[in-house]
Amino acid sequence: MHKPDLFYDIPLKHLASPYGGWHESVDYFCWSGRFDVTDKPLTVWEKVEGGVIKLPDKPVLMHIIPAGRPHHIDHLFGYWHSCDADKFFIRKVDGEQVYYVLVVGGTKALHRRDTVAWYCPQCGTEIAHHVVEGGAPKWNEFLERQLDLIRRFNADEASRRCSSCGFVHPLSYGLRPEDDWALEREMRAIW
Amino acid sequence: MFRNLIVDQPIERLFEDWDLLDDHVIKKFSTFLPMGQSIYGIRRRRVSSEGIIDPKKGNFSDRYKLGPDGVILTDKQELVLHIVTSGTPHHTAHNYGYWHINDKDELYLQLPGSEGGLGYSFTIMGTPKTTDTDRMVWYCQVCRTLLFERLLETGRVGFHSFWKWEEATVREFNSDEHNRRCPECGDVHPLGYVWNSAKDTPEERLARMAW
Repeated sequence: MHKPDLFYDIPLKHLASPYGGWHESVDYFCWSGRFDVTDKPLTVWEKVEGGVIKLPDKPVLMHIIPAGRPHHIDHLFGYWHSCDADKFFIRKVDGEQVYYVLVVGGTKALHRRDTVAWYCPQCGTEIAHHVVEGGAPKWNEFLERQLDLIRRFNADEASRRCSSCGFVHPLSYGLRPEDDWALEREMRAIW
Repeated sequence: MFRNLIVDQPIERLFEDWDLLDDHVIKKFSTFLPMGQSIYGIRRRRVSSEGIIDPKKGNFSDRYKLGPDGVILTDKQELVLHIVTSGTPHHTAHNYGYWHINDKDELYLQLPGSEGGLGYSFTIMGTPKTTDTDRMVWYCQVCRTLLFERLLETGRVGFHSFWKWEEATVREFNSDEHNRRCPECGDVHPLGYVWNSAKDTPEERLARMAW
C-alpha cells in the first residue's frame, strides 16, 4: 500500500550542491540554494513599465513576484520568466553562507502557462518571446521545453540580435545547472 | 547586465511592500495575510539550533503529524524548509491545542536572526479555492480514537472567517467533558486552546503549558 507523504524537509544547510534542486509538493514547486557569501548574488530583476527594477541584495529579504510579471534571477535562469502562478523569493545571509528559497505556486490549478522571453540589455526591446502551455501539471515538460528554447536561442546569433539597436544578446542558460553545456555554464557564471 | 534599463525611481514607489521583512511591512503579516495566491504569516521569533522561542508561548519546537503508522514527532529547526502536505493532521505543542487538517500544503521556514537578534518564522499556505476546507480535530491521546471534529468551508466563506471559527470550536470542545472523553478507552483529553494565546482562559493557559 502506498503510504501518504505527510511532510517534506529540505535542510538548506545540507544541500548537496550550491544550486540545490527543485522539489514538488501538492501546491508548490520549491527551489533552494546555498552559496558562499563571496559568490555572486542571485539578484532578482523585474520588468516594469519603462524598464526594469533590480532588487537590492539585502542580507535578509522576502519578495513576492506576482503572477504575470516577467523576471530574471542572475545565475539561476538565463531568460525572463513569467507564469500565471505567484512566486516568492527569500534571501538570507548567515555567517559565510547565503541561503535562497524560491517557491512557485499556491494554487496549482491557476498555473497553466509559462513565458520565456529575452529583452535587449542595451535598449529593452523584446528579442524573443515564447509561450509554453501546460503550467504546473506539466512542469517537467516545461523544464525540457525551456532548455530547448534557450539552445535554439543560443544556436543562432541572428535570433539574439536586437532589431532596434543591433546589440547581440549574450548566450543563455536554463533552469537546471545539471543540464548546462560548457558554454551555458560559463554564461551562468557571468549573468 | 540590465543596468541600462533600470528605471529611475525608488523601488518603494513602484512596489509597495516589496520586502515583506522590512520593519514597517512585517507587522502586517503577524497573524496571516492573504496576498495574491497564498496566505502569509511572518513573525519575529528567537530562532537557533536550540529551537524556536516565542516571546509569549515559549519554546514550541515540537511538531506532531498523524499518519497511518501513528504519531510522528519532528522538531522545528532553523534553515529547514518544512512542508506539511495537504490533508495531514498536524499539531504544534504549546502553539495551538488541536489537530489541524488543511486542504492546502503548509510551508514553514525559520531563519536565524543576525548577531543573536530575533529571527523570522514563516508559515505560508495557498489561498483556499472554492472547495477547500480546514478541519479541527481532537484524537484520544491514549488510543487515537477520533473524539471531536469540526469543518470550515474556508474556500467558500473566506479565510477571514477562520479565527472566529477556531475560537468557537475550541470553546465548544472544552464546554462539555463528554466531548473529551474517549468512547473506547475512557481517557479524558486535556482542554484545547486557540492559536492566539491572548484569548486563553486561565484553564486553557494551563492546557497550553501541558500539551
